[in-house]
This record gives sequence, C-alpha cells and structure tokens, in this order.
Amino acid sequence: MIDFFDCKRFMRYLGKLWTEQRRTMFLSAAILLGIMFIIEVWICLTAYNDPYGYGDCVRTADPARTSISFSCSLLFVASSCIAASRLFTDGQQKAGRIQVLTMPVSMFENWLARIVLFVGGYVLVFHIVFYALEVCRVVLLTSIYPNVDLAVQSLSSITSFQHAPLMNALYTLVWYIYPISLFVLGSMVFPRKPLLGTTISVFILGLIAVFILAFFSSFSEILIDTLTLWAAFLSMANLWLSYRRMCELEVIDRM
Amino acid sequence: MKTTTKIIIGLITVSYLLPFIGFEIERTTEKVFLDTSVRAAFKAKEAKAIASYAVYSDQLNTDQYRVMLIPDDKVGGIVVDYPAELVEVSLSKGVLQINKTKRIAELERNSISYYITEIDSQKDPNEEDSTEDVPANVTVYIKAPTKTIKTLLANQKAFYMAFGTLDLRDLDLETLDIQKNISLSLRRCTIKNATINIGPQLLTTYKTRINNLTLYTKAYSSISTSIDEQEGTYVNHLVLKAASDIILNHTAYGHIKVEKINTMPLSITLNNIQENAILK
Repeated sequence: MIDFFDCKRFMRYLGKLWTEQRRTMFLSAAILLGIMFIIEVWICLTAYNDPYGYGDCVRTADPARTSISFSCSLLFVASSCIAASRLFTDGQQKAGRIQVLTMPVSMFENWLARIVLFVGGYVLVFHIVFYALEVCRVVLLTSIYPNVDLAVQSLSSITSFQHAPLMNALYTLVWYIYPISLFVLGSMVFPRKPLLGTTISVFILGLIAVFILAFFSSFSEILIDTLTLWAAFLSMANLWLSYRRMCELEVIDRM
Repeated sequence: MKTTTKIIIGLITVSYLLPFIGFEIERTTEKVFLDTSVRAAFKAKEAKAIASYAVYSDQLNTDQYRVMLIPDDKVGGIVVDYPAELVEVSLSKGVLQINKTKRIAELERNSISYYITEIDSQKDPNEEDSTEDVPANVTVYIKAPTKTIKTLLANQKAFYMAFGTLDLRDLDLETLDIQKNISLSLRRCTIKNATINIGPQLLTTYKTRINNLTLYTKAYSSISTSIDEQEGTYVNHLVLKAASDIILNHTAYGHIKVEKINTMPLSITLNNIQENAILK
C-alpha cells in the first residue's frame, strides 16, 4: 500500500514528468510568445493611429487598454484550457494507462504532479510572457506618446468591479479557474480525445445554459453573485472529480 | 455507471436550476429606490462659483442629469431646488457645491444597487411597473439674478460640472465661452458671440439666436460632438473648428465656415436644405 502523499517521491515524479514534457512545453511557450507578440503589435498599430487624439495637451486614457485586456484574457482562457486538456495525454493508449496504474506513486501524487505541470506551470509561463511584452510596450511607447496614460495592463482589467480591487480579483480568479477546471475534468472523462470531447460537451451544455439564461432579461448583480459562487464551488468540485476519476481508472481488455 | 459520472450528471442538473434560485433570491431582496420627486431647497446670498461633482454615469445618460441655470431677478440671492435623495447642496468658501448624498456614497461603498425613479403617489404601489428599467431624470434648478448668472458664465473657473448637461435658458448675452466636457442646452437664449468647445458631447438649441458661433468638434472612441438644432434656432455665422464629422440642419444657419484642425478627412452633412445654397 502506497502512502497518500510523500513529498520526496512527489518531487521525483514531477521531475520525471517534466523531463518527458520539457520539449513540448518549450515549444508551446515559443508559440504563445509569437501569438501574443502578433496580438500586441496588431492592437498597437490599430489603437494608436489617430495623430490628432494624442496631439493636444490633454492627457488621454490608453486607447489600447480594453483591446489588450480583452484579447489576452481570451487567449489566456483558450490556451490554458488546451494546456489543461493535455493533462492525461500519456493515458490515451492502453499501454500508457497501464504505465500510469503501475507507477509506484500514489494516485494523488500522480494527479497533483500533472496539475502542477500542465495547469500551474502553464499559467506561470503565460503570465511571464504577458507581463514581459506589456512592460516592453509601455517602455517603447511612453516616449512616443507622452500625453497618453500608458500602464501595464493586467488580466483582471476586463471585469467591471474596478472600484473594489479584492472583489475584482476574486471574480476574475473564479471565472478563469472555472473553464480550466472543466478541461481538467474533461481530460479524465474523455482520455482518448480530451480537447475535442470536452469542447463539444461544453458547447452543448453552454448552448442549453444560454437558452435558460435568455429567460432572464437582465443579469442583476445578485444573479451574477450566485452564479460566481456556484462557479467557484464547481471549480473545486471539477478538480476533486478529476482526481476521483483518476482513482477509478481501469484497463478493460475488450475481446 | 461510474460514481463520478453520476456526480457529474447531478451537478449539471443543479447548475441548470441555479439561475431560477438566484432569480427568486433577487425577487425577495429589498431594493433601494431613490425618488427624484422628493425635493429640497437651499438658499445662499451669493456664490463665487458653482461646482457639480455628482457623477451618475453608471445609472444615467448625460442628458438625464441636468443643472439648470434660471435667471430670476425677483429672488434675492441664489435658490437651489434639488432632488434631496440624489444630491446634497452646500456652500463652502463661496463655492456652491452639488455632491451625491452620503447615503448614496454608502450604498456605492457597499456595492448595493439603487434605482433612480420618480414615485407617482397616484399610482397603486402594488402595481408592477418598469421603474428599474428607465431611470428618472435628475434635475437641479438654480435660480439666480441675471447678473449673477452672467458673472458665473463669464469666468471659465467659476462653473464646473463633472457629469451631465448644463441647461441655460432665457439669457441675453454678449459673449458665451464654454470650454468644458459636458453637454450643453440653450433654450430661448440670444447670444452675440459664442465659443463652444464641449468635447464629444451634445449641444442642444431651442428658440435660440446666435450671431457668431465658433463650435469645436471632436471625437473620442465612437462618440463625437453633435448638435441638435430644435425649433426656432438660428445661427447667423457658424465657424466649425472641426476635428470630427458632424450633421447640421441647413435652415438653422446663415453662413457656415469649416476650419479643419486635424489632418484626417471629415464629413459635414447638411440636412434639410430648403433654398439655393453655394457649397463651394
């Protein structure tokens, strides 16, 4: 019987997974850098093309602010979901699943190592790339547009609770974690085609949700609060269910 | 069926029922209505300046919050008639200040929604209506002697509005120079020379005659300066210092001159041409 959690063993297993996935992850980071660079350049080219708007002595808000926050938030959710759906790629084939089951680590360590690498690791890389490019943008453009209030944007600038920073951070966190947790669970429920299976399921479920929500003419704050609370609960439930699903992993020899 | 599959199906079902529960909670929650018909008056002997700091951009459109300057030589000083549940008026160091009430500040601090409405005492209180959907207009009436209003308008620093529409009526002015980012409404005014630079806001004129009007037009994001020439408006000479497109009612102008102040191409649209006109 293997212990539930042993730090030393966990770190070794994490190291093994990292060695196996290193090449793919560096490639993903390079692709992400390229996409985000193109987005930033494109937004800057379209947002700062009004020579009159920034020529007078009145200070102007950064016109690229909303576009950058919106597109990068979208990119963050989409790419994090893709990264999360790669959680169980080595279990797609029967041989891989046998290897996962016979690995001398506990299921919790196995699951946690994957979450740390495919979710936590990716989120970290995304933030490093995003803020590095944002700092470059601000430094380069400050001298060109001295009257524009340029500032490094954050992924939480997209929400409408700017007057309450704590509330803003909480809401953003919940609504970013929720879709990622769905794809974490999806990678365990649909181990063979995680991205396709989860996307189709989320699309169908989302479509039904849109029809239901269409009955409510306005999204009042209390309804949004209730949904956010539920999304926070579901995020935790999804992560727990993905672990439970991994524990239920079995290899069936179909004749 | 695996246990996790059963739990997932259960969670999906509950998730679909949730909006109905949230909606029910909302129906039972007490709503805060602020009534614009509850009025109060503030009197001051004199004021060096008037400043409206109240911003209701989340609840109201610019034309729904109005500060109206009414010349009245019978009042011995300045009389402000204001909706007491929405704003409070005070005089500090000679500056007449219009601020949001302390109650609203507290509601906003606690992120509690409030609805600006005009409660009709004739109406059955149990009757369902749409007061939440369309907020009522908030109007602050400032009555003052004509001389005081002219003195206030003559000094750029003597009048400040953070949000809304400045409503001027029944004024006969030699010059009017407004350089503020607010909407402006002129009703029954006669002005010899006017210079109006209100940023990307709306200028409304009604039964107003202006001899020389210099109007700056500007665009910001998707909005730009616009003018609504209502019945009885006539501007003899209009000079457009234009940085954005604008639509003009041709019959309201004697002469129109356009001076471009940026490098971008512009469109000036002339509506309602009823006589021969030389356009170039």
